[in-house]
Amino acid sequence: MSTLPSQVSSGNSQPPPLTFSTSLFRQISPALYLQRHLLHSPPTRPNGRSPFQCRDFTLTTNSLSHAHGSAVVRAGDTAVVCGIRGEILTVAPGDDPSRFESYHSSPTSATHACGSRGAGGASWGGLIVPNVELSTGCSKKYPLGPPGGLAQTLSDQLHELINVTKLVSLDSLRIYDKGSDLDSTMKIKGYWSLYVDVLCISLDGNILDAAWYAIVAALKSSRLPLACWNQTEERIFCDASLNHPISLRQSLPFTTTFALIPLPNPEGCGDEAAVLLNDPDSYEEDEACEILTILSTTDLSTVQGHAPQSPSGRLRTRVEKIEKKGGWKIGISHIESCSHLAASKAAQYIQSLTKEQLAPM
Amino acid sequence: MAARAPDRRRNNPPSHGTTPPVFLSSSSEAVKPKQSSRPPNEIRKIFLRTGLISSVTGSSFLEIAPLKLSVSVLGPRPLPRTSSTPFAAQAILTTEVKFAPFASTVRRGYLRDSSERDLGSRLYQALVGAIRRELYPKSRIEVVVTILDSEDEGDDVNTVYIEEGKTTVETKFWDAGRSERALGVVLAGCITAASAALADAGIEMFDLVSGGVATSFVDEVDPKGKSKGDAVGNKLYVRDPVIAPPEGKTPLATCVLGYMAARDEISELWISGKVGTKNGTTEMDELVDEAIAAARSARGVLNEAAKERVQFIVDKTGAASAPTKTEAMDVEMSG
Amino acid sequence: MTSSPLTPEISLNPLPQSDGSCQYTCPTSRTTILTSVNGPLEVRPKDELPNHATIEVVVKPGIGVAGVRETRLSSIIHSTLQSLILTNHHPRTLIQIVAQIVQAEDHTSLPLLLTPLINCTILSLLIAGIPMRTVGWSVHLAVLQDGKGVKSVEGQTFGLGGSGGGDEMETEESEQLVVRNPGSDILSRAKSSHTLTFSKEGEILLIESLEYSQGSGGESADGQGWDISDFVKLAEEGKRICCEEGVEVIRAALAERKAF
Repeated sequence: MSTLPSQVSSGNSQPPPLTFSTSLFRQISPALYLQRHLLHSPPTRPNGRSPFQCRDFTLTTNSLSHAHGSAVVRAGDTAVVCGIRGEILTVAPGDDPSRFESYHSSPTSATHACGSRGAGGASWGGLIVPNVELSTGCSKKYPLGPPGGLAQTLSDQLHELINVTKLVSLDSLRIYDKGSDLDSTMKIKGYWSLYVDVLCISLDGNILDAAWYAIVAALKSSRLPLACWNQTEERIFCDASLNHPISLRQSLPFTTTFALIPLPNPEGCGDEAAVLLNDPDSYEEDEACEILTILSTTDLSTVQGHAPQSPSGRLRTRVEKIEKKGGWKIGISHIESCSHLAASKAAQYIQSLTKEQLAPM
Repeated sequence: MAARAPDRRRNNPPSHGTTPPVFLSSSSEAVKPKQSSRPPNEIRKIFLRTGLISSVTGSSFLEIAPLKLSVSVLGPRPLPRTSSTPFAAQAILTTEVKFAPFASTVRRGYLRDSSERDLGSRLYQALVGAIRRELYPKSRIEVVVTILDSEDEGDDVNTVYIEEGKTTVETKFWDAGRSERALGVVLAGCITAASAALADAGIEMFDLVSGGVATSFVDEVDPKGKSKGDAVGNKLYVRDPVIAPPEGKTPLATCVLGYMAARDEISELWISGKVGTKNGTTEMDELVDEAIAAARSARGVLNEAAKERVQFIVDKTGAASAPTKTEAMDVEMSG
Repeated sequence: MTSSPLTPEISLNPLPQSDGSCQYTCPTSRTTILTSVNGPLEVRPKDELPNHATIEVVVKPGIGVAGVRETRLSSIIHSTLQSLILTNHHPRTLIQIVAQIVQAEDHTSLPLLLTPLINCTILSLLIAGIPMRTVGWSVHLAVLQDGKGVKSVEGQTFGLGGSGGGDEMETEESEQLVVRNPGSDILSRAKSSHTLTFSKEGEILLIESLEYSQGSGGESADGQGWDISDFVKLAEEGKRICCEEGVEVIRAALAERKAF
């Protein structure tokens, strides 16, 4: 960067304060640098965005040759690749398929005694295995080697999101025995287990939103080979020429993350000021004291079916998850206003996803 | 697949264990990859772009048809301050190559396997001689390669034929040098992309290293007919080979090398397969020359990428020094 | 100590070797947590912060080895405590918190574990004499669509006023039932689960709210979720519980240890 000396402030009684170039100031005092930007009117973030403005994002689906479904999401300088790989879980003759049909991992002592807890349990939730890999040299702050705290927390958060939102229909994961005449539960011979791997190629803040969007887009674009039970061989075979999509929910939920930056109080008393930033980059995340994530759906097709009572013109928004960590400055009113922003962000995501789906492959 | 010990740091697959899908096929034609239509002395188109990752010192992204890989260079940064760290007069270079779990036909694990470690050490050999390490004492330079997509197939059987109740398991290996060719193309891509990333990081080097790969093929011979002698005459060299061998040909040997074109030096050489020694070293020389020619072609792309990046930086600094609208809006930054 | 059916069983300093420890049993779900706090200790040079104390939280599972779930629990507790502990009072030191899950109905359920973990940790921090900005208390609320056949302790459930979101599907039902600190049987029937942590002053320290819908996923899960106004009502209720009852529990627990 250039070494422009910043202007010396016009204090004349005191000796001129120590001055730094903008880029140096950014490095040595990030908190102050951020505060000065945000106290400006109108508040502008160092990256040129307004507090509630999110980064533009791009989506590319199914660009990988070996994955059953994939998506590349780039939001600002954060880039993630999500690849989905299906593998087959064969239900052994002694197994009870109903274990997989229930979402809640059964709290019976049997599963604990088997020690299957650490291995993902035996519930439906265990069929989809998301993992985040950050040790790809995506940022100099993140060390190489086995997944650290952030990667583990993200993997667990994404696993919870997939389970809680019931994103994937269990029916599209079942593998049936087409030939038999027995009742439907006996016909289930296996399940597709989906390995959802998210690789972060470039990390510049707000990895959760990008990763979740990539997962939803990749699942939506996935095509699994058609699998069925072969009675003579007694194993599951796939047909390379036929495939089927994974059916997802109609109203797709999306996450929106906000970071709260504390500001110095000019009066020095009363409530401390703070500003919420939508879609923080890593420079802002480092200074944030509070992180708020809202998972919401925006239903674009409210007109169908029963008449909605909500006023027309406004999208019907449902919140499915709120997560707020650290700090104490976010109030209920903040959460309310953020939920509206989250809804508009979700609408943006849906629009870009539909555009991508409609585009010729 | 046998149940492994659960990984404490990741979400684990169902404890029942899962198997990759096994395809039922009536004919082998359906799964055979397509032949390439380019002449044997031409390499595939290379897409190379540097500086895409903002939070690391240097980075590059390379794409050669199905192969996609991203390289980031971390450092030079100080060695960790532990009592066991010895004094290093030269920079310590580490290279890591990792396939994404979805990058090959058979899903790979999260821990680096032997072929990934092998590629890492070969990449180290290719780069270590080119970097002026004596200029960065007491520091380390890390090169991390993430392969997102490749032609590599792993070694699992996943096609089955059934005829008259008799099952035959068909391996997807039609020839022996298959995985060497796939890994060779990956390694050549790694070398080219890594030196582009090192240049992007501004690390001083003697020369850029570009990777080249060539394979020698001979006419397919009947397994019974022992006509090995005349096969040498019909030798076909293919630069930057794809996984499928040319029609009617069977591979003999594959050569991968890292080549510094300006110094005419080979920094890494890997030959696998059958190279005859009947005519002295001419067979090997021919193969190496072909690989060098492939590396020279890749060097052209490498030079372009480096030039593009320099131009971009010049443009950016030029724009920054001129007073622009964003600069004027900047907050006063005296502290 | 008063023993109302909703008062948790708290045993202070069960581990005399540590600077502060606490065993906490949730009155209704019977989740039992044992925490120990040590600090300020010497910090490893790698983790040293020049003007703050380093907080280390380790959550140990009741069964098996720790996995990603435990790491996430640690990170949630860590970020909550970061804003509670006055870390600048002990720069270049380590405050080490170890939480052991002793008993739980479901060892993998985050909502069931989080509230006892946070309450227990805060109590042991108080015992250890770690300087804190304020105290906080956590409550876990589960929203049920109907309360049929719910076995609950007196005072554990309360209704939430008719939803003002204008959602016709909810208004025709009887009003929603909210259960405090539910067990896993109630949670498995719940519509949504909310772990709320408030400080004594009523500031929100932590929210972990999520939707629990039934069905087999895919399209059947459409249209779930709540309107934000429903959440606001619930948060007000949570705030009342934490600020009034929670603080009272802490006060009662510590009153016996005046001499400390």
